[in-house]
Amino acid sequence: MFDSKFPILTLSENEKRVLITLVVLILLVFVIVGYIGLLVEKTMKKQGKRASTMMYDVVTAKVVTTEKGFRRLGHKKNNQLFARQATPAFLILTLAGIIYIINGAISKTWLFNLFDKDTGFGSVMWLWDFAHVKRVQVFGMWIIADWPPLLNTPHFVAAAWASYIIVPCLFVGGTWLLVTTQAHIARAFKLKRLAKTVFNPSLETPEFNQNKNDAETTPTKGS
Amino acid sequence: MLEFLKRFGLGILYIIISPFLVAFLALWLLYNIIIYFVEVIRGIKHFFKGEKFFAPFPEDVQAKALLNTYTATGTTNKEAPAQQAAPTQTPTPEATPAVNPTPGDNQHV
Repeated sequence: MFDSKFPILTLSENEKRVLITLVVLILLVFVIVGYIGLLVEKTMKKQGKRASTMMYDVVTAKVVTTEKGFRRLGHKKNNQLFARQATPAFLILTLAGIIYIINGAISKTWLFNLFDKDTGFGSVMWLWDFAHVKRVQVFGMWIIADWPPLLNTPHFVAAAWASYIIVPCLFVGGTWLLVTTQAHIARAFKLKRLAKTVFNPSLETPEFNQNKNDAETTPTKGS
Repeated sequence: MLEFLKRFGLGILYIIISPFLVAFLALWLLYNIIIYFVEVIRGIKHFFKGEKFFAPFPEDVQAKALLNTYTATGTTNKEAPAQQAAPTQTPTPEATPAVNPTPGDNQHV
């Protein structure tokens, strides 16, 4: 009767170890995601500073004197900078497209699995057979209990030549494009903030912080 | 320990809002692809006009010319609008009302 009311107390040592490991893993995953978010935040702050630099000359030379003008020119300059930074990414992705077309024209196969282990990029990767791995049931879930058998060791296949070029190009070009898009977003938000602060002076800025100013200017005894 | 807990909390938050972040990034990426092709077309127009592919904006050219003029003439009119619009002027003695009334001010009462 006691066991049926408190099933958690009937856990075996193995199940307790699995439970603790799962909890620690989940905690770690959340903390790692938190630190990845911090990295993205810091990167975007650094990328946003470029917005300030690119508008400095036009503001100091008084060519742009209104918030609307600042936003409009900032938007155009941001787009041009993105185009300049993203050009290598688009060229790499275009190369991947050209190789795909050439491969399709030669082999007459237009739909194929790029990561296939026999005719794709999977042939140069270590692949494990997770479909036939030994599992045990814990708390109603089937958890992997052993290292899965090796399905493929790296080896070159002539028929997969196109995927050896397309996959790295997609990876590099895609990552480059994502990073430049992130930079574009960071600059856009920074420009929106700058447009408000540069042309809308406020008494709440540090220059008018009377308490701070008084503390700095009031001479202290013995000075 | 506090930093660890903060990161843990933010990690949970990022995981919860990650689908919205991914959707936002995907939409912005589509927008950026359109921007890229618009800029390429603009660049091709500049190229056939004999200019650079990513030609500088007229405002940049004007700003550069003005700043070069300032440098050449020695004038340093480089204050930002925010600083100029919020001057740090101290009030003149005439504008400041007297704090302590002088004797005889209240004689009319």
